[in-house]
Amino acid sequence: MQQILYILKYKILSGIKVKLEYRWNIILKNLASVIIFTGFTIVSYLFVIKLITYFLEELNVGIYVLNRFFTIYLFILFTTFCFANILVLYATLFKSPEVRFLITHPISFFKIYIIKFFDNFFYTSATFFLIGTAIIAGYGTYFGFSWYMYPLLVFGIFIPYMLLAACIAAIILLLGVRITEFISIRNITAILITAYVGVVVLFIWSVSPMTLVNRALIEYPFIDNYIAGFDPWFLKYLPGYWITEMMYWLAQNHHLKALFYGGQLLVSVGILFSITVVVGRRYFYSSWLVSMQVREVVPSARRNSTSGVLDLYGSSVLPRPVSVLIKRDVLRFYRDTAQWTHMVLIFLLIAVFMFNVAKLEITFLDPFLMTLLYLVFFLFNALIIAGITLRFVYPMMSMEGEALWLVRSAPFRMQWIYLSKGAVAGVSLTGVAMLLVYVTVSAVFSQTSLLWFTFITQFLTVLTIVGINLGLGSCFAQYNEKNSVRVASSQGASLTFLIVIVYLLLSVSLYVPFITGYFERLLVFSVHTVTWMTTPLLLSMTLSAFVLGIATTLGLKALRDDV
Amino acid sequence: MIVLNNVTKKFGSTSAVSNISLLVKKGEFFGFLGPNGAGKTTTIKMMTGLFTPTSGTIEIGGYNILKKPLRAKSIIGYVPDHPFLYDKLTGREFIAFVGGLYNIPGKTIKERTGQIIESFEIGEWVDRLTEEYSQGMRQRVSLAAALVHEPKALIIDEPLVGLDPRSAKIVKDVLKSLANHGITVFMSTHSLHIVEELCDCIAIIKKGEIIFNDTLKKLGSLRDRTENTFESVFIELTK
Repeated sequence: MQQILYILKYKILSGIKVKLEYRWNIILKNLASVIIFTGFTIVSYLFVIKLITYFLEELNVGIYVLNRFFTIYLFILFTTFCFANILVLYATLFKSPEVRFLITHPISFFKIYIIKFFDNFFYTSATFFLIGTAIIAGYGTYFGFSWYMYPLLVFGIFIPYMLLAACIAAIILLLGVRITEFISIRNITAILITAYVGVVVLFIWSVSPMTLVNRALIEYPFIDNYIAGFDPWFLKYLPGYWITEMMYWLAQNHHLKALFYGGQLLVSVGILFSITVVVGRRYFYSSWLVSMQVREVVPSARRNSTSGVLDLYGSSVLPRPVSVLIKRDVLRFYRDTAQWTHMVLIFLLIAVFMFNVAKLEITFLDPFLMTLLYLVFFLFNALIIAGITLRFVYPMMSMEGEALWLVRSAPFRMQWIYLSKGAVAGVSLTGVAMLLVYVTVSAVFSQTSLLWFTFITQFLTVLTIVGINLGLGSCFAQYNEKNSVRVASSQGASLTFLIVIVYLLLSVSLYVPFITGYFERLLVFSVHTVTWMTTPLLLSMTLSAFVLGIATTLGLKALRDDV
Repeated sequence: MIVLNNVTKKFGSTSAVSNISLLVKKGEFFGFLGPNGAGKTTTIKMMTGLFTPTSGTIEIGGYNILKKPLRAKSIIGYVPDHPFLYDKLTGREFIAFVGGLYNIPGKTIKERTGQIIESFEIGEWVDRLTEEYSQGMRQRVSLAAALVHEPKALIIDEPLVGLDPRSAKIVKDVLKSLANHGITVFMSTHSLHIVEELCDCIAIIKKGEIIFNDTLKKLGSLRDRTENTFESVFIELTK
């Protein structure tokens, strides 16, 4: 224990020294982080209250359905956190120079494992922690929880909940790496991706929100009844269910029942953490050796050559320096297993989402509900793009890595490198966004003008999101970090994601009155025009140009700094 | 070919390089020496556009590195002390990529790559990913890439650190041959015997200031006068 504390002391010291470095841009960055993180938590908190009010008082879905919506949300949060932890923990445990350094010193492997496990847990949990805090605080405020319940729920329930996901991630990772001796790493990755997608799809399919609402309506008007008999059998074994049940009983002032569910969660965390400790003690070093062996052996058996469009000697319609930069980025991308497997995973999830949305049969005759549904689709599509951009575009400049000297010392304008990355990302993501818009909007809304309006606004959104990620990705570039997953889960990345959310909320709030007006004219007066689009499009363009301009200026300025 | 005029670089209140001036003539093999932390790498980074000088001017081939950066950079080749390469590219792809950055047509790069592979003896490895390379291989590949656009001046930082004798000999032979062909070589190093073997002129930097800037002969006369080795003269000067 003394040794662990000793190492932690130096880790904290080095962290503090970096953060306290007296430079204006660092101070401003930290200040902006605090403002944005706080703002995000407050906005999310207010949003949760509004959402609960809307579901319970406007839509009258009842507390049971509301809690199940939270269960679904918590489940997705849990699996995503678990999957993200597997990816980041792999880099932290098996590729980190710090582990290589510590392993050559007289420190037990188990202690190294514990230090890196928690290092990784705190590194990846910041955004999830804020989201969880906002949900708990919003829920508690609406149902009037006592003040002491908030810290109790956040630190006593939500953090253990995330720790549970991290424990599962660590166990899967260690055992997964251990068996790469027998099964190739590609196959294991494929199994993990299939399992993740399969679990999410099966869960959504079993706990379908539409079925939930329909079942609850059978009980109408006693919609607040505790109707857990409807729940699928497996639900009561899920940690997210325990949390929402606990919240439900707290809202009903049944503290004993709440304690029962909270207790289940804490006991599970205790058991899982103990298993993680045992697995770590037993398998960390052997897994580490296997991962080193795999990395050393696999590449030397492979020789690489390129031809066709990716041939770096080949000609192109683009200026030669730009074309070699793009080809280099593509080659590095598809040779990096982590990059393309994540891409495949994300596209599988998008395909599942589009397949489900395409089957939706929703008809509302209320302009407000139509607007709400439209904006939900708009925001959801934009958030998918924001997620992909954060994962793949934000780390783009950092991935220039310590080889940046090469590009910087070449007779080459840094704007080109910036624009080439932006163009590749912008074109690819526009394609994805247009497909999403086509599937989601045309599945529910039949109006062509609305579809075109959405195409244009989503295009502007994609450009701006790419611009924000590239710009801030350059400002907060971590050239000494080789792992793009770690870059995409850093503090700068979280800040960028929150800025994107603020931008999206601003965009949506600009559209609300115009879209509502459009549906009113369409549904109430049966008037179908296209002139309504002009003002929101102009506003949207102005906002996007403003945000894009600032992000690009910051990004290009950062590229001129000393390296 | 390379002119540094009253160049200063400050990081906050600390001066890494203070008011230094250097002149490296065309075809000269220039050794840049100094103890650790003296300002060698900072000076080289300013010469290659990686750092902006706080004051003073740097000209490469008559072009100011700040005012005409593209012109200046197009005539130099640069190899840093730790040449990080792109892990997921092969050596051949890396060389082709660097050639592309200097706007050299693919066909020309292909021809030159063949010759370069031969002179650096990297044929066996050149089609493997650079993540598999040893330090020596990395150094050889990055030096090979720095020459693919046929620069007029080569700026090279600690070229022989961590190299095995065979790699070191290959690098030294290439550098000698470049100098014999009229290419200016600006080399920072710790190895005094390398300086003795290769350089025409040398400058010694200490705590960011130039304390010696003359020919090797002049340094040799200092050595003869004190009946000392190069090493002891260097230690005496940088004490």
